[in-house]
Formats: sequence, structure tokens, C-alpha cells
Amino acid sequence: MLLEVKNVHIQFGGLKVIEQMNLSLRQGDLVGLIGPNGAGKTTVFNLISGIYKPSQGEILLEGRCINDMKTFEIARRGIVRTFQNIRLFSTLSVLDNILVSMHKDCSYGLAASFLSLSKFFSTESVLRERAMHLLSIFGLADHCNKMAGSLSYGLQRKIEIVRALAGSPKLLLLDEPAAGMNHSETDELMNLIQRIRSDFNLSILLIEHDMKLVMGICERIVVLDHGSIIADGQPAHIQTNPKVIEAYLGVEDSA
Amino acid sequence: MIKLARGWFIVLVVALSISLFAGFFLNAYLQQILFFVAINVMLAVSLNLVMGFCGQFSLGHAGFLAVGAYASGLMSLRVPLFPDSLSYLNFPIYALIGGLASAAVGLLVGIPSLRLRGDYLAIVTLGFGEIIRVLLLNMEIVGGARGMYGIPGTTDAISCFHAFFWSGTTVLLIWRLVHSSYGRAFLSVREDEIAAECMGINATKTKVLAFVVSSFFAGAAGSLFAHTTNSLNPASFQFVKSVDAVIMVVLGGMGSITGSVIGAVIVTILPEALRTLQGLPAVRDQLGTVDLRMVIYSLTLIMLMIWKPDGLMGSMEWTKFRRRRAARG
Amino acid sequence: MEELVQHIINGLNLGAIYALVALGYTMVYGVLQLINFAHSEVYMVGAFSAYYGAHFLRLQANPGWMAFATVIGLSVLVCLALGFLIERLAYRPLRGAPKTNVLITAIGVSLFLQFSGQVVFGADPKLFPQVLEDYPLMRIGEIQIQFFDVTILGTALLTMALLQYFIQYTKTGMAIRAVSFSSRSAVLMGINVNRIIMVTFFLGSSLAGVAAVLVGLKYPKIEPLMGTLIGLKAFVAAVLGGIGSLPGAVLGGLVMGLSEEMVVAYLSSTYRDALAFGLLIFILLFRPSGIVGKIKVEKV
Repeated sequence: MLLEVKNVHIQFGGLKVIEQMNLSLRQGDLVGLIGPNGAGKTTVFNLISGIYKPSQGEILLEGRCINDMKTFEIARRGIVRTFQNIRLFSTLSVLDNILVSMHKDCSYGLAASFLSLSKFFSTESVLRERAMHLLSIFGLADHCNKMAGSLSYGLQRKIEIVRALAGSPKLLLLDEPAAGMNHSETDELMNLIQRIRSDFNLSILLIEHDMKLVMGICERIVVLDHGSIIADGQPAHIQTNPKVIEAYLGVEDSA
Repeated sequence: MIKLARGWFIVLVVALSISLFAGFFLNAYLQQILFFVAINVMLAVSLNLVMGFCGQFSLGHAGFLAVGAYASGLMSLRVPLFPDSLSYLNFPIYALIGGLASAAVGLLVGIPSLRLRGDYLAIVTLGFGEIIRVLLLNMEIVGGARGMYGIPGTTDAISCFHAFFWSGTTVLLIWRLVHSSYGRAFLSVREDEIAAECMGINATKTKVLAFVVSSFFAGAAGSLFAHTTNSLNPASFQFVKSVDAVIMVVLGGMGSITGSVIGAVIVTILPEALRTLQGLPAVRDQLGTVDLRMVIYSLTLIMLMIWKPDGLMGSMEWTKFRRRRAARG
Repeated sequence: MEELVQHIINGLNLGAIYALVALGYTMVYGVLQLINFAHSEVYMVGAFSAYYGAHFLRLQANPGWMAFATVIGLSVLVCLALGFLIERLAYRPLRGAPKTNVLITAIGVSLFLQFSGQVVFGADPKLFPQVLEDYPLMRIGEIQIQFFDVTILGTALLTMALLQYFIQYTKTGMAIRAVSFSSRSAVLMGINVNRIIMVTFFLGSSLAGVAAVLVGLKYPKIEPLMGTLIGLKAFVAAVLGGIGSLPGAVLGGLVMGLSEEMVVAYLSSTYRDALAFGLLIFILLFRPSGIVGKIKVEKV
């Protein structure tokens, strides 16, 4: 079991945002997290990635409790995410954005930087090669030296995903990756996500509102409403689940 | 090998040329100004590492200058290492000690403070800068309010070379640091600390690193300061001095090492130029003995922030500037 | 025992003055998230305008409530005008700019006023006009209560009460609270945020004006750099109480005043000013939201 969320609660002041959450992911899963606005989906991501700490319950990564770990520690252990509102390092180049994720793989120390030792040059060139390789897989190599903030929305979303991949994650959290995309872009994204899952051998948990994407690629769907999971199963079952329908559309008037 | 040596070569050549020029052509007054240029360059470039590259606000840089100055001064008065004939060899060691002392203080101050953000960090660093000054004011071993006198050091050509060697080294080492993975870590924390953390960057450790490196060079600058002015007084390290450093960084452009160098040069030379201007009989009659320098200073700061907040170089270095110029044709 | 009570009275007076100035800092921080470094200089200019005004109107000849009120009025008016100018000319152009820039500008304005003050008023200290005469008002056992003690505390409390009324019971006051909470939502509710910010500056500056006169009464030596120290202490008081919170500023001011008085009385006067820095750092490292403030969670 890669990720286990056990009985997790979180509240801010008096507001209970997530209640009694139980979720597990295995190696290689592609799971979708859906739910009406305000259900708490991004909060779940924040909990898993370590930005928020649960008020109750445990989160386990590969069997190890990560409740008390700092965000960067969790990232280094293999949980990397993208953001609902793109959070690229906008004044840095595309290449630099990717290289930041690889900082943890930087094997030279301060002395090597200060003194320009050969270790510095060799490591930098290895990192750059890896970064460029990653960018070219996604067709972004031409943009490598452009300022990240100057590129189009769609490209920025892609770069955010590549940046996350550069951190060699075991679990990739994608927060509304299709937001603002049209049909053809969404189709492309669907292929991309599936390719990522298989080529990079990782698990993916994604938040999405676009049902075509969710139903199209997710093997399992978890539905969140008002902070609690109301359904967890295969897409076909979720589509006909009355509780899910109620959460999104409400209940039919008896009149 | 060549890549490694090129930077040092430039530093040596620059330091040598400046010191020879100073030795032959400049009088004592101008020589001292030159020393202050070297010191201020170190101050500005080191502060830029924290403010411009790492995006953290530090209003207490004068404190690190003070720690380095006093540590170095105290050491030179109590524990001179080399005898008279080789006395010049003392100064690099004093500068190193000043730097290390400051770096230690930087670590002490940085670890608790750098968890804070923005305004709060600014105020805490201001507070620490002032506390350092107040502590020095009350420490008898460094002379308290009277200060320290008789600190060895000259402004001759050899000392000039030493000063500019340190200055150049500061620029070189910080340049290299910024162009390494650590530099990218600094920038990522500046751009978006939360996103950086989510990508595996230990934001606090990164900020503390910038802070400690910065205080090291400020401390070394302090040592140069002590051995140039030959006397120290806590009054030289007030909040206004920290503001000086901030002005240099902002004027040059936060995030541009070249800019900090330019900013330091301008901020050192301009008041002296103004002082000469005020000395002119015509001007003096109008203003009397009134000191307008700080008024002009602060007004400049305000106007800079309103009309050219990116400073002179923005976040460009002169290498990119050259390329841009060439591209525009 | 009597000595202690005397110190408490002094501390409360000092604290009330700090509270007045602290309110100015906290209100501006509430609506603009800006540390108005120049606030201490507004206070200084208020003191000097009272000085020049009193001399011009020859108020020293007839000390009394009329003179006192006139001097306060003068100080408040000048502070209002200065606050207006600072907001309009220095801060408004930077609305929306990165926080660093605004902070640097605030520092610039503060320094500009300090040094201009030295040029215009002269660096040497002047004596604040005696518009009221101090005399022992009453005795309770061994404790002597001076007229000034009561006046200062009373004026300060009255001013704070007026402010409280304004903030809680008027439409503009409610608008100020709304903008402090969220200026973006306030705009959507139809509030003219620019006007509200202006009013906030007016209020803060007026309080500083009142504080300037009260300080002038008790510590008549005034000089262009007088704002720095009290500004720092009042700012620490605001942070201590919880920056952005009005009751916090008052609480912080009183705590600051009392502790300073106690330190000077029972420890050592050399560390009087260091207390402010020490408190500041302690608070920021251990409870940055202050006594009353709430810890804000950043939304991701």
C-alpha cells in the first residue's frame, strides 16, 4: 500500500473541513477525487502533501506515518503536487523551474559551488541533461530558456506537471490539471496522464471537475462532499450512485 | 582548470590595478573613499543575496557589519599574530575572523527569525540589529559608548589591494553561489515559498544559508571597516547604516549583483560629491551649516520606489545586458 | 507600597500615550498591511506645530483649558494634513506594489521627515509650551496624584472612547472594519476603499497629534528625532497586543508603559530602551499574532 489516509479529520477553528476520511492508494493506481465546490478536495491534497497537519488520524506513506513531517520532507519522500492556481516560479526560466525540483539530487556542496570544482560542473551537466530530456518528452524543449511566467496558460500547466515529475515522485497529485482547457487539449491531457503513469511508474491522484476526463481515465473515483467521502469505487458505479447525484444535483422534489 | 582560474584572475587584476592607481594618483582622502567603496560593495552584494535573490527582508545588516568590525578590532588589539615586519599578513586573518564571528551571529539570529514572513521578518531583523548595537554599547571590553581606538591598519596600496581582493572575492563567490543549484533554491523561495517546499526545497534551511553567507561577507567588510577607520563606535552602526545598505541594493536592482556593485559605488561617492558641493562658498551661504545629504538621500529613496522600483539594473547582470544590447543591434 | 502605586500611575499614563500612537500603527496596518514607519514623524511634527502655534498665539500667557484645547486642535489639524499628504503622495502610488517596496518607501518617508525636521526646526531641543499648570490634585494616604496624571490619562481615555464609538457605531467605522478584514470584498460591497484608507490615516494621525501634546506636557523637551523612540515602543506595543487589533493596541500600550516604568524603577534605566527591542523579538519569535491576535492560515 503506497498511501493510507486513516480516519483523518481537520478543522480550522470551529469549522470542520474534513471528517472521518479514509482513503488508500496502491502502487500504480490512477484515482480521481471529485466533489462539488467547497467539498474539501484541495484540503485533502494539502493534507497529503504536508501543508496542513491533520487534527486527528494518520497519513501513512509506504507504511510510515508522515503526519509530523515537514512539507519538503514529504516531497522528498515521493509525494509531489501541482496547484489549482498555477504556482510556477514565474521569473525563472522553464529549465530552472525543472531544475529546482532536482535540487535534492544535487550532490555537490557549497565548497564546490564557491570554488567551481569539477564536481560542480559534472553534476550540473547531469542535472541539466535530465531536465532537458524530461522537457523534450513533453515537447517543451524549445521553451527551456523562456521565462516561465511569459508562456501561455496551457503550456504553464504542462510545465507544472513536468516540474512535479522532475522530483521523481512515487505519488503525483494533480490539482485540476484540465482547468481552462478545451476539448482537444483535454484529450491530449488524458493521454499524457496515462502515459505518465505507465512510463514513470507512479501513482496518480487527481482532482478534476471535467467528468469526461475523470470517467475516461480514472480506474477508481472517490467522491467528497462537505468534507466526507460519500462514495469510492469504479466510474460506472459512481455515475449511478444516488448519493453522488444528490450531492451534485440535489434531490428531486416529491411534488 | 581555466574556468576555475578565470574568476580569480579577474579579481586579482582588478584589485591590483585599483590599488596601484590609488597608490600613485590619489590623496589620502580619496584613498579612504575608495576603501569605503570596497566595503560597501561587500555590504551591498551580501545583502542582495538575502533580499534580492532569496526575497527575505533584512533591516539589520549593520549589526553584522558591527560584529565583524568589533571582533576583528578586538582581536587585532589583543592578539596580534604576526610580528611587525609581517603585519600585513594579519589582516586577511582578522577579516576571516570577523566574517566567521558574523556568520555565527547570523546563524543564531537567522534560525529563529527566518520562520517569519515579510513585514515581521523585517522588524525582527531591525530589532536584532539594534540589540547588537545596544549590547556593544554596554560592553566594557569593547569600550562601550567610548568605543575602541588605535586599531591597526592603513590605507596604503597594499591594504587597498587587500580590501579590493576581499571585495572582488565577495562578488565572485556570491556570483558562483547564485549560479548553482543553491542559487536556484534561493530564487524558488523568493518566487513562491510554498511551491518551493512542495518541490522538496527546505525553505528555512535555504533562507538561513543565504543569511549566514551574507553575514559572513558583511562581517569581513566590518573587519575592513575597523582597520580602515582605526576606531570603532556603536554610533556608526545604527539603523541608518542598515538603511544605507538597503538603498545600495534597491538602487542597483534587487537580484542583480552588478547592480549592487553600481549601487554601492554611487551611494559611497554621491554624498562625498554633495559634501564638496556644499563646501562651495555660494552653496554654503544659502544653506549655512545645514546638512541636506540625508534629506536628499531619503527623498531619492522614495522617488526610486515610486518611479523605478526595479533599480538601475533590475534583475539583470551585465552579461545579459550585453547580450540584450547585441540582440537589439 | 506607595511607591509601587506611584509607579503604576506613571506606567498607566505612559501606557495610555503609547496606546494612542499604537492605535495609529495598528489601524493603518489593518487596512493596508503596511507598517507606517512615518507615523512617529507625524507625531513629532504635531509636537512642533503645537510649539510654534503656542508661541505664535502667545498661549503661554494664559494657561488653562482653552490653551490646552487650542494646542491639541492645532496639533491634530497639522497631523491630519501631514497624514493626508503622506498617504496621497508616497503610499497611494504604491498600492499593489510588492510589500518590500512599500516598506522601503515608508522608511524613506520617515527618514525624510526626520532629517527635514532637523533642517527646518533645527536639531537642538526646544521646550514645549506650558499650556496647563501642574499641581498636586489629591492625596490618598502617602500617594500623591498630580493634575497632569489625571489630565493625560483622562484625555487619552476620552480620545480612545471617541475612536471606539466611531469605529463601532458609525457607517464609516464599519467600512474601516470591513476593509481591514478584506479590502477586495469591501470593494465588491461598494465601499470606496481609497476614501476609507484616507479616513484611517486621518484617525491615526489625529491620535498621534493628541499624543504629541500629552507627551509635551509631561516631558517638555522636544526635538526632531523624538519620534523614533516612542514610535518604536508604540509599534512594539501594537505588535504585542496583536497588530491589526484596536483593543490589542490599547492593551499592548498599557503593558508596554507599565513594564517600562517597572524596569526603570526596579531594574536599571540603561536597559529601558532595550526592553522594547527585547519584547519585540520575544513576541515575534514566540507569538507573532500578539496577545489578542489570531494566527492567520495561508490558503493554498
